[in-house]
Amino acid sequence: MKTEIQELRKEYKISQEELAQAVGVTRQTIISIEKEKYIASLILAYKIATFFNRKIEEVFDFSKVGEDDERI
Amino acid sequence: MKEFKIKVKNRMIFLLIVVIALGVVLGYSLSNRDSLIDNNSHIFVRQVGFICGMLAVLLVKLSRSYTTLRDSRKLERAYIQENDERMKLIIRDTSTVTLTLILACLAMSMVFSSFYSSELAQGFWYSILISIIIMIITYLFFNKKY
Repeated sequence: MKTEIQELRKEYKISQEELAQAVGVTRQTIISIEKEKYIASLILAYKIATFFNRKIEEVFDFSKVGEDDERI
Repeated sequence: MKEFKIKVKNRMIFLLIVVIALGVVLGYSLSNRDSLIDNNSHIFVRQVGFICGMLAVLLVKLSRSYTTLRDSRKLERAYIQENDERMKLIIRDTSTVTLTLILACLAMSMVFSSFYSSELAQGFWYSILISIIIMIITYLFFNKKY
């Protein structure tokens, strides 16, 4: 799933480690989400969106849900 | 975090009990060596080696848990590691694939061993049967839970 996390991180000047600590996951999870290898759970997506003061759909692209994302 | 600390403490207590139990078994084995050896000295050595190995691993784990409990940063890191959803998914997928492969290997072993020994094939057959029964029970449990 495509996300805006990397762009938002750059905008807020936050490292992957800092974001990971803030939302309670490992840095590797943030890397995987950014690389579109792993799809965040609803709770994690909410935490990340809240961290950047955005709505979930502004951070995560749900337009292709069901096409190639088997884990949703 | 408080609950996690209690969880780590409980785990440490459990590990300590296992270490003490293994120590008792090892002590008993070594003190009664003469009566236990008979003609199977190699089995005895393997058993003692296995217990010593287990003890070493458990002691390392125990000391790690102790240092984690003492250091708040380590505790936080351990908490994140344990509750990380990607890690949980990896563990779940690893367990599923491993179990499937083990069952496939057992089934193949059963077929091949049946050419040489019916008793061995029967052993494999029972292993598969027990694994499947455990799988069904676990499935029913989680089906009811969620």
